[in-house]
Amino acid sequence: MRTFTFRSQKVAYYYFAASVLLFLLQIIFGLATVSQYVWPSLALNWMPFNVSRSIHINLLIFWMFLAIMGATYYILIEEAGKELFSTKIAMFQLIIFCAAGVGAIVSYFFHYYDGQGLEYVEAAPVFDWMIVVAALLWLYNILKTLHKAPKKSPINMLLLITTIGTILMYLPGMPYFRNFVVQDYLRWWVIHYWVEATWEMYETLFIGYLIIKLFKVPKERMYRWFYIEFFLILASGILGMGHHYFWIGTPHYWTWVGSIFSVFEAIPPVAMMIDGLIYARKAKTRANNLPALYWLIGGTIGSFIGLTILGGSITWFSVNYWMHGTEVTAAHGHMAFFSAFAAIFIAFIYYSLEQRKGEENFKDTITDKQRWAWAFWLMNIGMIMMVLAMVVLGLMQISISRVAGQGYIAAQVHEIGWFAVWFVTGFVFFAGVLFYAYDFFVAMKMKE
Amino acid sequence: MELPKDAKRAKGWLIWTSVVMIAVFLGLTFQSYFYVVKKEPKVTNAVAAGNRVFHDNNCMDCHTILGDGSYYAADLTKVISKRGQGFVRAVLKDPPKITRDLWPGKYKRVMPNLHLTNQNINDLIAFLTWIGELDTNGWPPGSKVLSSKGKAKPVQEGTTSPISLIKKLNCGACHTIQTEGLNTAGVIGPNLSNESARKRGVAWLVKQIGNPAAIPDSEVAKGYEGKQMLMPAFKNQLTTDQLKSLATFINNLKEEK
Repeated sequence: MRTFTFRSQKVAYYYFAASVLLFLLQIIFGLATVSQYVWPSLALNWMPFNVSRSIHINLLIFWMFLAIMGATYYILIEEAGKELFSTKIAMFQLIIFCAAGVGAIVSYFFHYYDGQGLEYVEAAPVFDWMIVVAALLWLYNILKTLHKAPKKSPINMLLLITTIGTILMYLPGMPYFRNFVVQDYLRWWVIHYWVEATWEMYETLFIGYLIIKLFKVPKERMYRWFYIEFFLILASGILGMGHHYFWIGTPHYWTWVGSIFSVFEAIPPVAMMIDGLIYARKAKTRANNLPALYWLIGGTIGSFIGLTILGGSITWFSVNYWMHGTEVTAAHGHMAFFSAFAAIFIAFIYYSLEQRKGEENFKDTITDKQRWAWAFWLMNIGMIMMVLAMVVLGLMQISISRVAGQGYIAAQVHEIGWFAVWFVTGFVFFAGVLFYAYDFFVAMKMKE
Repeated sequence: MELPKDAKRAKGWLIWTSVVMIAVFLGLTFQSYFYVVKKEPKVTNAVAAGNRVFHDNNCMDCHTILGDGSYYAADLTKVISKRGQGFVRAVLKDPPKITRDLWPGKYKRVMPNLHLTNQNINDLIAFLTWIGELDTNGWPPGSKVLSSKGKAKPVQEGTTSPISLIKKLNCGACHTIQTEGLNTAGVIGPNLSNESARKRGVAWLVKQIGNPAAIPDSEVAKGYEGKQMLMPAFKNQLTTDQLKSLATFINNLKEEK
């Protein structure tokens, strides 16, 4: 008994299913990576640290990108008021994208980087091109669907702009440069302009969409909010890029540009959290979809911690001088990716599952079974504990190796206990992911 | 698509601010590009080749470089000025063998064998030297002590106190030195706590500290043959007086029973 209007919205669930599987795999490789801090050189010859870590961070991008593509299609069709231009193209795009992902992961085991062994953009050019093809198919499908759509929707325009921005910002990571500084300068375009601009814009759109749906807020009232959020994100984020250019051989004025605009970058997540909480309080009708509600509110609070608190506290250049290149940045990265993106995507996926199965069905088989609550609390508690361990590790690293001047590894020897904490709490998080994945496939298998 | 009035105003802000910000960012990017190409050290063919080797082996997902990358192994920004070329060369030739012995205790983070050719290693060293010469705004912390823009300079002008020199140069990272005022436990190089028993003499120690690679294997302490390559040459970081004072101090070290 599906309640969504258009048949072709179904295509989104294939993307979500792939994203859930890759999420699971990402965490397995995350555990394999952190285990090497506790038992170093455990798998030195077939999976050294750089291989498992590359896979961990690449799968992160792949599964989140899949969730974004699925959610984009889902909203786009509904807002355009017509079926998708071509579900075949959408499926083909999914296959190419997954093939690129799996191919890249396998290639790391054979140390095939083809001059691209750079953190976050490790995939060799051949996989880069496959991803570009998939992205262009996506864009083509979106444009064709929007063409002569019966409804003109501001939300769709914002989705389109965000998608174009995301695809454009993938390109600077692809070419090879002789000069490492130039390469690193452009590598940050991909990372920063995804997570601190275009992906944050997707996050805004999905949060806004969920607020409209869960709290029955009139759409027109959210338009202003979308534009203000986008304004805040771009006004601070474009020059906030400077915080990656403090120490890489670029001109010194970046310390001031980056520091000042990074302070403003702390604002959009705060606005999202406050708005989410206000709408949740004010809602005329009680939100039925508890899993989506929890992940939505949890996500906005978490992004406040991850982006504003953890990110904001390491970004001023004189502080960053000590924090740069330590596990403190890893703490910020983990908390921010989990809350700002993972949690919001999971909220969206729970919402879409309810639409697929109907409210009654969803309540009986998902909401009342409480597996989602286990997933929510295990993942959140696991993540917060991991992040605390990383903060402690980073501060130990700074004090032992940077202030006291002992060697890098000499400092790490004192930290093994905290690596063990990270490893164990990683399993808490993993248990949550298992609950979530199980929930997802139960809901998918359920009769419509 | 009729927007409410306030949304329209916000849309106007969004568009104009984005245009201005993008224009400013692109302007700064052009300026930065010419700065990097003109003011920073030149990228020679060897440096470019080393850059390629660096990327082909995905060094960045264990090490950090310029602070970017992964946090499993040491930052490579100043590795050449800190450790010396000989050390880097020895590690790259046989990473597992050398890194297994680098630290005391059972906890061994071993670097995998990358099977690099001599050419690869030369290029990588050229690349890492180039990285070390970049003007990184004083990062990493402590790097100013060892070098400024990659050029070694006396560690502590004026001071000839051997104990403070040993602390500054971080000799204890590799050597065990147990004496009054020092308590280090490095195991890469020979234990120096009872150096007087080896009867080296000040002149020999000046040579050893200044340029270790010049010491033939036959003169190296037993069991450490070949490892003199791991020790950085300190002659450019120390004045003659400092070198002499350090050698004299080490020559006189005697274990107290």
